[in-house]
Amino acid sequence: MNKKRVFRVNEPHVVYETIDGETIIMDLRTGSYYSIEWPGVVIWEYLASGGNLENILIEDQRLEAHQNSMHHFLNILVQESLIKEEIVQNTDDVAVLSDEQKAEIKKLADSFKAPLISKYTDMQEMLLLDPIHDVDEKGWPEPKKEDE
Amino acid sequence: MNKYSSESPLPNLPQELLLKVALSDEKEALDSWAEWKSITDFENDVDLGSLRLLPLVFHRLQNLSHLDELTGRLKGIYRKSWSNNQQLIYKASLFIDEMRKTGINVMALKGIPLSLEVYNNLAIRPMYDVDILVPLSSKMEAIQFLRGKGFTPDDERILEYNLTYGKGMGFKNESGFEIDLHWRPLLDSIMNSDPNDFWDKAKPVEIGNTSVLIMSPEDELLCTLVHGLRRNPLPPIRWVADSVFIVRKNHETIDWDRFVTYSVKYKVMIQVKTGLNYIYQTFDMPVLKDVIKSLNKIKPSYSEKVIIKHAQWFGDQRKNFSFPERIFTFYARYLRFSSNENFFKLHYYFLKYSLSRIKNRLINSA
Repeated sequence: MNKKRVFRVNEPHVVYETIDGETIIMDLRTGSYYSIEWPGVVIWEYLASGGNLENILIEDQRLEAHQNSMHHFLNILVQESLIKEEIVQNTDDVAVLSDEQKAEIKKLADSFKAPLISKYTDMQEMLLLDPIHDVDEKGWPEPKKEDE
Repeated sequence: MNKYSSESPLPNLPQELLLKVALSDEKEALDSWAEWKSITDFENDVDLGSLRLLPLVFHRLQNLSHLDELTGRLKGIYRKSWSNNQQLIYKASLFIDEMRKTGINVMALKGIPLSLEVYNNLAIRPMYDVDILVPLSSKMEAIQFLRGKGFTPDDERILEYNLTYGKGMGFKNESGFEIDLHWRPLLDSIMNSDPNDFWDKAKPVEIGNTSVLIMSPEDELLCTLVHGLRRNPLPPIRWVADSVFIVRKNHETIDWDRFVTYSVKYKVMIQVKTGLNYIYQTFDMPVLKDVIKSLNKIKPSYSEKVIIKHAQWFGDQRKNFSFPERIFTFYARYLRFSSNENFFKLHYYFLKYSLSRIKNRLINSA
């Protein structure tokens, strides 16, 4: 028996959608909103499908040099209860990386950038923002800077 | 206010261009987007009806891989709608689950079924409240349940009236969560309705950890057209996108005979024909040709003509009516309530109804 660690999205309280290269996540119990851009999106998508970080690190040995930063990202996702750990009995139960994900991992190893997550906690206030006039060029929920 | 401002349920030029971005073929969609931008000042001209279409417009432009200077803000509007809808649906699922456990049957209307079953996307149709329908026989239990959960009606006095003559009432709790409780799906032709109408073909869908009933596609289409084609201070143009999506998604299974039967029974043929004709002529919808032909063969009744006139003139406006406007509203409400089609009988009973209402008013004020 070869036990493996995998991750799952903490459903049904955690919901997410990837739009145009950005993953937006919401914890419906707390109302907290999160945004992940590349390369975090690649890691999130794989973990959300039942993968683990080990398989990403094995996929391209060059990423070993950056494993601290990758583990830091994973720890935030776990600490925020966006994903939860699960132990599976067989290697077959771990999600397989798609060709597209493999290509993205190679791209990450070619020019590494630390995966980041932005958190927005005051949803009530955020929802009051006018999405045309009160936001910067990136759009809601980024408020317009004072001098704009 | 922009120069195209209107409260008409039919789209004005900029609104129609936005609808074409969302619903037409690639070339027409991109041309319409370019034209919309050329005639619209994004900072000042976007009316609320158009704003509510922008998540769908973003979604379409994204599918067409179109990027421009507005993409960031459009994406933000999409994100905001997704976040708001996710929260509303989550709260609604907890609420519906509890309501069902007390034995009340619940059907979700408007935003929830459209998002879950028609658009299959929780961002592209913004919601501001949750609309639910309960059986007419359960209305008092449902109101009691809402009060028990800390919800209060928008207007106690109107609630009293609506319990007999209306179709529902808005409720709100302290945190601002709004539930529109309906006990009739349509206000038109109350006396012709059967308690089992709309419920007999409802089907369950999952919502959070529970399930809720939703209408069959033909019933959903009928209600979308009837609710949409009323005069409204908030331009309700999204009925166009909702209707086109319902038909495109379900064109093989829609029961058009039932759709026509209910349109006649609920005296809503005029607005249904207007709506279907508009989407048939504006978008590529050959599937509607036969049903429009069937509806054209049926003549609307006198009551129906007056009721639709009232809906088009006043609709959902909340303003202080003048005395003649109040009389007309009173008359239209009576016609909705009556099932009588004979002109003389209709007006004989109208006089009796008016006298009884005046008598009640005098007793209540004494």
